[in-house]
Amino acid sequence: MHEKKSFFQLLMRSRLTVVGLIGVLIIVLMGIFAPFIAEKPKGYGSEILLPPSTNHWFGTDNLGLDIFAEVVWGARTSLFVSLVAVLVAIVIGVPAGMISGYKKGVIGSIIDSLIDIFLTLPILPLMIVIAAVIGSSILNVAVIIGIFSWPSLARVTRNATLKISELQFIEAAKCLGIPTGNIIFKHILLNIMGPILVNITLIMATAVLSEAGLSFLGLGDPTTWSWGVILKKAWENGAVIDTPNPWWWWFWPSVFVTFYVISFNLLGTGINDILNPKPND
Amino acid sequence: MRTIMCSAGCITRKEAVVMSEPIIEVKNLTKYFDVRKYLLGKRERVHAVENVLFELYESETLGIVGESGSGKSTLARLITGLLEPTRGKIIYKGIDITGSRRAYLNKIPKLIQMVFQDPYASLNPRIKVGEAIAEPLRIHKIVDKKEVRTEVERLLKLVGLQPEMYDRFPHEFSGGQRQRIVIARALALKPEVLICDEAVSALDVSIQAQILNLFNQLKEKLNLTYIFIGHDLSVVKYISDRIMVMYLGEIMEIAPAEELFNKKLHPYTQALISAVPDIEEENKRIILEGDIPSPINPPTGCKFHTRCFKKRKICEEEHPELKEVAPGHYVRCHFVG
Repeated sequence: MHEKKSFFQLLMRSRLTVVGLIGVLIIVLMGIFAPFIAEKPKGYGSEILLPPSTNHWFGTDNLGLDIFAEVVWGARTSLFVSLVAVLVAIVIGVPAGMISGYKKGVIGSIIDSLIDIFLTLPILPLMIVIAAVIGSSILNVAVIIGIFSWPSLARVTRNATLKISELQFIEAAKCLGIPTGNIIFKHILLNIMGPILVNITLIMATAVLSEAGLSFLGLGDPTTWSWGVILKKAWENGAVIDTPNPWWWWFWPSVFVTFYVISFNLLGTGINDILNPKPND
Repeated sequence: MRTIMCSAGCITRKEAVVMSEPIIEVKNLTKYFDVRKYLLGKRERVHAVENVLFELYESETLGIVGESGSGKSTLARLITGLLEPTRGKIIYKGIDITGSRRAYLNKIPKLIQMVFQDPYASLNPRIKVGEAIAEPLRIHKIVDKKEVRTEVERLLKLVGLQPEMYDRFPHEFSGGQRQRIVIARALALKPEVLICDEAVSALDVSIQAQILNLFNQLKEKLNLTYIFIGHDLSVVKYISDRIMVMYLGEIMEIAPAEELFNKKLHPYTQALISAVPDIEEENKRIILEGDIPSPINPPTGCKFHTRCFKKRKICEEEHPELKEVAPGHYVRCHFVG
């Protein structure tokens, strides 16, 4: 934390990272302050399928609900889903990756094989099946996504750990009698924060894609607004192929999904550039 | 002139060696690594260190030389307890510390410390150098919590750095400075034995001399005993009282430094010494053919026979023993003694 200021300054140095950071901030603020920005869309409205106007910035859907409000409340859902998914992925993935990277041997091999197996699983069909079986509350969806996200995080953590634990300062720490716990969770963790953070931002991004996908297939939580749910409703009501096309209905949620994914990716790349150890002169 | 001065100095040093007690006795130390190239492949056995037997005397500097792959570093890691030996014992002042990992986990670091080869890799890039030195102090409770910073500053001064450097990160330092930090960190636990594993090999020649002088100063100030591992014979000769020559995990020759250089009994020692550039004497270089053989299937008989210029039939068949040819001078060769 000592270099928080300089870290922030470094973050500001790359324009693309700033764009990513602003994007993430916009979404986070939208999510947190959704009730203050727009009323939660429910019931019916009288103005059906209106194009964007000053009254309804993003237009209205076939029930007369404001699409801007839906998108804002969708941000809240997307954030919730990706945060829970990331939390699940961190809790499983980081320790698994660090242990399998540090303890070469039977334990390491077992965890490594498990990561491999999970990485080869057909994720989307499995998510669909599990979501169908355990029911599609928004929390369930988030946890399912998290459970399928940890292998990539574990793999990244493992590779980074492998690389760091070969370095001499780890051997030096052992030689100085530093306990294994300190070695793993201080000496190694400090050095692999970069790849982990970057992977977390990627999981944030893909979690939203997965959620949108599941919702679109009807396996999301129908009682909550999410960008996938909006898209699904648009699709069900023929908004994508109808002429004249109510483009605003499918366009805005799609834009926000893309915006969300790109913002987190840009931020991740920026963090990666900064946190990667400086090359030795 | 140079020889006279040096040999005179060495005699006094040698006497000191003879007088003192062994601080570490290494008895038939052997380390094999079992490796598999593939998941279900055949296990292969790397003979890293084989039947190494020697004594380290208090306040001496024992140099260990040999090519890469000769088992020097493995030996160092066995003595510090970083690796567990396959066979053999390490006795520290009469106490068996072999397999020290559990019983002595807390004690070994305070007795034997190590300085590593690469000053760029042996400091954690994310930890301030002061904190790096403070960590072992805190974990082993060497000084009172409040005095940690003062102690670290004292150590920094001891190795010739400014105490203000406490709050800097390793990347702000040069190789030589980093090696000083690493030495300060190793000395934090007040060890009696310091193992320097190629501690100056990665440094520029001018910096090497500074660090070597630092080692000598520290030795006098703190009454340290050194094991100094290197592949540069002139460096090892400069700092060592005795020198041990290793090849494929075995001791080939061990003798007081001057004697080793003057007598050069083992053919491998001869080859190594002939490779040291010398301005005064024009010596014939003995060029060894090929590389050091794989330690997975070490040669039968004398391990050096595949490259030895004195090779005869007996060398392929019989494994020579380490023989004492003069007091304190041991050689492993069929044709010596």
